[in-house]
Amino acid sequence: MTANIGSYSLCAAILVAAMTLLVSLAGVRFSSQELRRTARRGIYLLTGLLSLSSAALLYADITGDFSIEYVWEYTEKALPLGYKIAAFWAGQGGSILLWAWMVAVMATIFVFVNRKKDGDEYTMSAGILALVIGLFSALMMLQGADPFAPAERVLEDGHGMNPMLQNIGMIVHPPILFLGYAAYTIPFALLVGALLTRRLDNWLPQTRLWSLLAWLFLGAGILVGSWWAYVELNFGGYWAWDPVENASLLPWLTGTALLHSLIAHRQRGTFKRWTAAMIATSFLLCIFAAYITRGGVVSSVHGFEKSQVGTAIFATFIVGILFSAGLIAVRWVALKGERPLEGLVGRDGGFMAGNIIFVAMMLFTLLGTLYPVLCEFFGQPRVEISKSFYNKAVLPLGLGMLALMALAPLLVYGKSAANRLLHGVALPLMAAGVVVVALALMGVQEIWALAVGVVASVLLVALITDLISAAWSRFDKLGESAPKAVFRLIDSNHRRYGGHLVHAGVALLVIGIAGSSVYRTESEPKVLRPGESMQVGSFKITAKSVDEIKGPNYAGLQGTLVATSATGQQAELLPQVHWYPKFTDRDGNVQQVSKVSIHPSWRQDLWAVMAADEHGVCSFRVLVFPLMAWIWVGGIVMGLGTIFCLTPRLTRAAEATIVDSAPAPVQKPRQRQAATAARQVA
Amino acid sequence: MSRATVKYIAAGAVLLAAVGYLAYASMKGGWASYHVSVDEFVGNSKFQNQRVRLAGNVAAEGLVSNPGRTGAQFTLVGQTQHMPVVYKGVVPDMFKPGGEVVVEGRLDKDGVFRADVMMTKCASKYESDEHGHKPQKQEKPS
Repeated sequence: MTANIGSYSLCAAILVAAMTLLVSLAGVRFSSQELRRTARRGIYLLTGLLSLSSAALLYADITGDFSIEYVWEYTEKALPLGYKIAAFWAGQGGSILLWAWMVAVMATIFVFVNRKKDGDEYTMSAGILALVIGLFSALMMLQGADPFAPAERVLEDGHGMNPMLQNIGMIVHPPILFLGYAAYTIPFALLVGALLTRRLDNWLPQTRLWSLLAWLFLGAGILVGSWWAYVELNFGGYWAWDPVENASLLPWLTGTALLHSLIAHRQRGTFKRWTAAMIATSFLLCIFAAYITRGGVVSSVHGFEKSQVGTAIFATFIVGILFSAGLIAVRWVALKGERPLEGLVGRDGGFMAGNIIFVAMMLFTLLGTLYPVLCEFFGQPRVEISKSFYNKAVLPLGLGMLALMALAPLLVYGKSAANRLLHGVALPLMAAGVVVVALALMGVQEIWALAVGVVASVLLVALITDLISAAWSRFDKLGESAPKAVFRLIDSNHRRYGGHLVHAGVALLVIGIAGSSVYRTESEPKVLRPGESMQVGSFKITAKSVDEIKGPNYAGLQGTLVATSATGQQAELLPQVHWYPKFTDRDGNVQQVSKVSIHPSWRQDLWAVMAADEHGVCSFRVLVFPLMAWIWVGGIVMGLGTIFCLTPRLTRAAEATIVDSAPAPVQKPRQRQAATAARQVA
Repeated sequence: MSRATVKYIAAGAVLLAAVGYLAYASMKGGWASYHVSVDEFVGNSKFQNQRVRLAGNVAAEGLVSNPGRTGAQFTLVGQTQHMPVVYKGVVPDMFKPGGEVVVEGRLDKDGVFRADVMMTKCASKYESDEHGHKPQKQEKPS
């Protein structure tokens, strides 16, 4: 019954999507208000059907309807409720349904917000959204992707969720990531709608909002995924340049270039072609990420097997590229910037350099991910790309990006940009000099660590001096008290200071990455009997005991390790090994799963795993990750900064006007509209 | 072409040249390791001095496992050739005689393959090797 509701609403959704697309196209072609309204309702109906289908799957998962193969595969009666819900997206079919449903809900919001607007571009966008949702829904008709396929035999209890997935990360990471992927569909639809109907006036503000949201969710999803890998997996780290990890990073990189292009677009009417190109690229890279994850093309810890779904997504991806490239090419002249770029050593140059760096980082990551596939395609022997490639190619670019960010508050528009920069950079550079000397004296002498230290200090000092000088202007001119001046200042420009906060967050993130990679210390797996110890970096690790433990569906061992630092401080690590009787291989060997134990602190994280052989002899592997916590802190700060960008000001605008060190005045909106209108007529 | 445009093009060219150099430098030596079978590897001088991923089966006999799963010595067997392997690192759970395995490392002077990475092919339907994250429905060639 539940399966039928789920299946039939999916089928209906595909039909409704096709009809909505046709109605939208007709609505534009015949300029019919009736048809436009029908198209809007089509989107609402589509969302309703997908919601019904999703509710059916959710219900089946929670109640344990094992007549559905998908439910049997990923849940069992004893599974905690949170994981029963998470089972929704544990497999191919359910995760596609989740993605499709999210796009549909976002499409509904988009269509509803714009329901009173007259322009053809909104109708066209609705049609594009219907097309994308319909294609995703149609994917679930393919073999291996149907979440409602019946089980061959209806069994008493389900198979259960893989123990490695039973972590809070499974509940949080996929939905947030998918929100990011789904959200890039809206700017894409807006872009295509605007370009197809040649109405390029109105697409910007909403594009900016959705692009920011998509970037926020995607970044948060990637960060949570990294954290999950760090606390769950045995390899000891948060990023392995795994093809699926890389695939999620690609749209985030172009998404960052998009955000910056949007700033220039809004402030100066420039970087329009960049904006268009980055919107299309980011959306298509989300589709590409789906392909890499689901196509079984590249061997990955995340991957599904090769399937029809992969081929279908790949075909869609190729068509998408051709269509987008063609559309942008045809509208190339209409996308001309409103003024030429000036000031190479200013904001214009900074945005350009930044965009090139982000695209280069994306291309290198893409090359590394696809190289094995290309090799096989051309009949060459199979290769695997090593981490050193990514480190050598991408990290220097990352440092360049960090340097650009450091100078960002000092970059302004216009011809006098170089002077402003020279003026503003003196103090930060002096601060950086002090920091380098201090670091070197503290024993930090690796070149990468010093480079990061220099750039991060320039960044932080530049931000602080910018804030102080602007607040001082207010203090001076308006006589406000210092805290009030700072508060009013920050509130007067959420975008600028939100952006600065994001940059500060990136600096913290990079400091964490540098510390935890350059100064990472590792031990080989070593047998430690109670009382024995080993040295890992400056820590002495002593094994205290190994105890038997038992869980609801597992039995295992827990090791107690005591880590003593050079200064005598002690920390406890409790790695575990679990055996799950339900997860056996064909020969009946029960799967052994390690549980990582981490002792975090501001200075470093201690990380430990254990393994046990058939005689009960245990070995331990301990890693020390300096400054690891700063990665998560930096990520959170980035998130807060983004949220701040999205929030409206709290105080009234009238009180807040003051000339500070903000960039040159913006061209008045009415002038720009008149100019673009004139161009459209021509 | 205005002065500003010329400056932009020049700066862009410099940046692209830097990126190009980065591509070249990162692709020299050791960026990609070959994935070969035992039969392809033995006696092939191309692979003697490189880091490779070697795929084969664990010989039924002669397997020595270090206590606490800290390493193993075994013979990796292909269709026609075989290779002695010394592996240092955590031994994955699925490692056993007759099982399929991929090891990564180099050949040493004495003709022994020194490996520091080991991946087992998922024999079970719902779990991959020790790095497994999401369940895979079928065995995949790794």
